[in-house]
Amino acid sequence: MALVSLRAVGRTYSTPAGDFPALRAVDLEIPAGILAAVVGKSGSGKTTLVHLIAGLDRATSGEVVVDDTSLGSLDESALARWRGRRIGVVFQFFQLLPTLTVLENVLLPMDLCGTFAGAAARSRGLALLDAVGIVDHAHKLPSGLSGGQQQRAAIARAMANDPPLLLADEPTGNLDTETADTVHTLLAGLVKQGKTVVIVTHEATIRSTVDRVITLRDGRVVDDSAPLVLE
Amino acid sequence: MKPRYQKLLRDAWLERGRFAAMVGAITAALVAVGTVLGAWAILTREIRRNYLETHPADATLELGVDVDAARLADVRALPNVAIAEAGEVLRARLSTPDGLRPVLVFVADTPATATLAVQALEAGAWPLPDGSAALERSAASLFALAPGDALDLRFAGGERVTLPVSTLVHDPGLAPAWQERMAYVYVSRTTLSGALGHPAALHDLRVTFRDRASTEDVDRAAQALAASLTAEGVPVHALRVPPFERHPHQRQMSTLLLVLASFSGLSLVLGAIVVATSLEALLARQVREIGVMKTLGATRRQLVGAYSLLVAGLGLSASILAIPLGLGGAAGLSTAVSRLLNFTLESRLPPAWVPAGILAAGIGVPLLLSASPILRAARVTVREALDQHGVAAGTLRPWMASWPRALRTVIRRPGRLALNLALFAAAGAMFVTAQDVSAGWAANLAKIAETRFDDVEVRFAAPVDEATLASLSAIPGVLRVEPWGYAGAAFATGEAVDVSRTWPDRGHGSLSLFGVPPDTTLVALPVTAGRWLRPDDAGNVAVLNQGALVQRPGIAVGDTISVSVEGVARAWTVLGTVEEVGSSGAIYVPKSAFPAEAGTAAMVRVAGGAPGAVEAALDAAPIDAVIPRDELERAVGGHLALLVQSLTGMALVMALVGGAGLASSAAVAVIERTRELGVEKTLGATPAQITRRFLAEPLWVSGASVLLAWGGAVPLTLLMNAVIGQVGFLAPLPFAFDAIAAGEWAVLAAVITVAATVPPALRAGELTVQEALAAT
Ligand SMILES: Nc1ncnc2c1ncn2[C@@H]1O[C@H](COP(=O)(O)OP(=O)(O)OP(=O)(O)O)[C@@H](O)[C@H]1O
Ligand SMILES: [Mg+2]
Repeated sequence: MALVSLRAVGRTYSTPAGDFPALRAVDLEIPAGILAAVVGKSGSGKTTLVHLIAGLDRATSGEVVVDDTSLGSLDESALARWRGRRIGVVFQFFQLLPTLTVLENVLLPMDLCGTFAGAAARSRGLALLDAVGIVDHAHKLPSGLSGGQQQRAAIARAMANDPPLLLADEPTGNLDTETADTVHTLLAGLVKQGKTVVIVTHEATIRSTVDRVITLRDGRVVDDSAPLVLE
Repeated sequence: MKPRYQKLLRDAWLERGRFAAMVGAITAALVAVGTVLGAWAILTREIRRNYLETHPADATLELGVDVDAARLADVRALPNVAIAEAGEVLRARLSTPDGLRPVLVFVADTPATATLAVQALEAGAWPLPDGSAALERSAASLFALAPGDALDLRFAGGERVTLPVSTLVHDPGLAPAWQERMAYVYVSRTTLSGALGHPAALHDLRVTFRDRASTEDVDRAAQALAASLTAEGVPVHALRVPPFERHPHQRQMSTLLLVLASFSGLSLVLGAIVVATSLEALLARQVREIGVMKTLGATRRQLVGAYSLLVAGLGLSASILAIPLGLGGAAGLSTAVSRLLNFTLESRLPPAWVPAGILAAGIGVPLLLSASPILRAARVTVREALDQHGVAAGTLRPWMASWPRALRTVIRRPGRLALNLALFAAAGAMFVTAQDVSAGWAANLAKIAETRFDDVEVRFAAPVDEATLASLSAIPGVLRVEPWGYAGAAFATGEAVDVSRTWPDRGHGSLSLFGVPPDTTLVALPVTAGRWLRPDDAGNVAVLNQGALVQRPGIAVGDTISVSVEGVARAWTVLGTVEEVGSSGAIYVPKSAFPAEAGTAAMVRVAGGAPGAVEAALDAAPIDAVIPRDELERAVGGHLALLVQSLTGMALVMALVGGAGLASSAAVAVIERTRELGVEKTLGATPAQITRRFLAEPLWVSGASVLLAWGGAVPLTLLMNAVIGQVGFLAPLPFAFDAIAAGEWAVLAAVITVAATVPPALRAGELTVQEALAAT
């Protein structure tokens, strides 16, 4: 069975101007072990889709099943615990906690979910930072790091509890092209290690390296295919 | 340490100024709570212990015969009587360098072996050597007497007696001498008989009963005892049953301390609100981070737990600071009160529940009030959290555009504005009230001079011949002499013997009947209902003061009351009621209707002339008590100082809490508007302009709060006047507004406001554009 499976999923926001459907009847399957890109114009529902998969938001209709778990059946704290262990999230604005050092940021999910503690957590955290190439900055505060370094720290933090699925919402939107490439390479490397990565992006360049492109328009999946590789 | 706690601590450290203000606010309030609650606990325990250690008699029966050994043996044989002893309280006068002063002489068979109404030895010989007297320690300090000095006493029968003081005792069963302006002397029957030159009779039968737990039980047992004595032919003139196991000043003290306690509790709630709103602002800034933590798997419970821990830690630090200070304050306040009431503190430590209560309140109250902002913050969805930007316009409306800018900014946060206003207004109202109450007390005291025009009142143990009194007119300076009827009285109960609720000092709770000369010009008591006596009033009509009314509540004008004098009950129709400052219960009737057997000249009021000269001219008369008006004023006044100080102290605590609230919200305002500041600075605002603006806003708030405080002081003063007046005079104090205090508060509020807001305002001015624009 697919790692991510959405059946007739809708998400409607109620606004003062009336109900607004951000996603409408989306059917989607993402198998394990691939790098998938979600693309579409601003406001097409990309973030909404990622949030539903991460269990950060709930569908107003349909069913979201991720990693064999039907998210609608979990209560708030079960959902939080599940998310902490099974999903890694990377944001556009890095979202490192400013008062924690880089290493402590990576240790935080382990602490919150009770997965690793003490020396084991520390050595795991350092290994993760090493893997993203910023172990030298482990004891700095995020404000002392460049944008690309911060995003690499955020990726290390997303992998803290070794989740099978990593979701990244425009992870390179705030980075220059060169730095963006290194982040993409990192994410692609994770897929090689057997992880599944879903990445929301505007960057045309990345499309060549992904296994699948899911295109959204006005809350619907209008295209879902292997990328057209132009030789 | 776990990363999440590390984060909490670092966030707290970043906001250390604000946290210090929060801890300060809670600490100040907790110290106030601890001081008052601790003092209340210590004092109620100690006043009771002091009083019970004197083994007060449950009841005192005043017999028409001497209570001798045979009589005591009979009474002790009765099944319900636990202890029976003989005693007597005589009024006398003591010569002092300032003239004659009233004395109560307490006589017992042998004071040292008595088991009822006992005194504690302070210094000197004990048991009391024959031929000498003991002096109560508060009287010793009032009259500057010490063991070895001689007491020169004059008794009502005209006897002059000189007794050496061999001993100082402490008698916490009595109101202190400096309060009553009289001396307390203790002698044995043998000593008194020797000094008087004839056998002294002890008319008081002091008893405690076996099965009793309340005043009512004692009443019943005492009535039964009186009935059985009467049946044996022993005349029982009066029965005195003081409230069971209660010191004469216990209720007053408790009432006032509880008033203070409720104010301190209020300041704690206000302090906790400061914490809650500061925390709310802090959480608002943390919303994004809360969203991130939720993404990383934080459950709502973990978040609530972490922030609650922060608040609990804050409360704990405040409690740790406040417990020693509060216990110190409690010890100080109870020492001051115990000196005032002449009792000894065995321990200055309150019971364990006081520090435990401070700790519980210090942690619990802020937690309770922070629960709602914490829960709200933890409930925020990740989407909302990550989408959040800046501060909304709040309640700002388009039509407010013409208002001054500072006012518009202040209005933007109505909750915080209301809180700061309320805090400051409450503190100010309390401050002004303390001074108003003090002014009201002074005005009440002045009423003595406005309603009584005699300079001295002399009461006699037996009626005197009116010719003696007429001779007083010859004294140089005497303007007017009025002989009055005077007798001790009691409301008739219909029981065999009338009960009065008097303590052994016979002052507290007593009732007197006065025969008023028809043409009196020496009293003009304000009428509270009905009317005062008229020259043509005749027959059994009466006017009561509030001290009499309180002994028989529910009496109205037109009612008929039954009052007994010397055991004979008479009916009187109530014409009116009056208010009288500094008097116990009094019933005024026309002199023509005054009971003949009590005599119509048992008292004289004299206007003009030196009280000493009047007293000297009456040397041969059986003087019971001489009450110069200035002594009365001294007895009534002066005891409010401690209460006014406590109220002012409480107001200052509130002002501190209010200052902390202002400091905290000023800091929040700077943080919230950092980005706005960056924009303004880019547009050319100078640091001085910005600092000035951040100072102007809180000054608007404190200005408004001063107006509210002045307004709020009025109802609060009325309330306090009612409570304190009731405790002190059985009538509310007159209202007085102390304009100087109101002005002082305005200045104090401005000073506190500036002190609290200068640091954040300066910080706002010094922010660089880069820092300001980088803020999220
Ligand atoms: N809380 C909300 N209330 C109302 N409407 C919302 C809310 N959140 C999102 N929307 C609307 O839902 C639609 C989809 O939003 P979404 O953030 O998923 O778009 P997006 O594809 O991620 O856009 P972008 O590329 O700009 O990030 C948008 O039109 C947005 O305005
Ligand atoms: Mg988006």
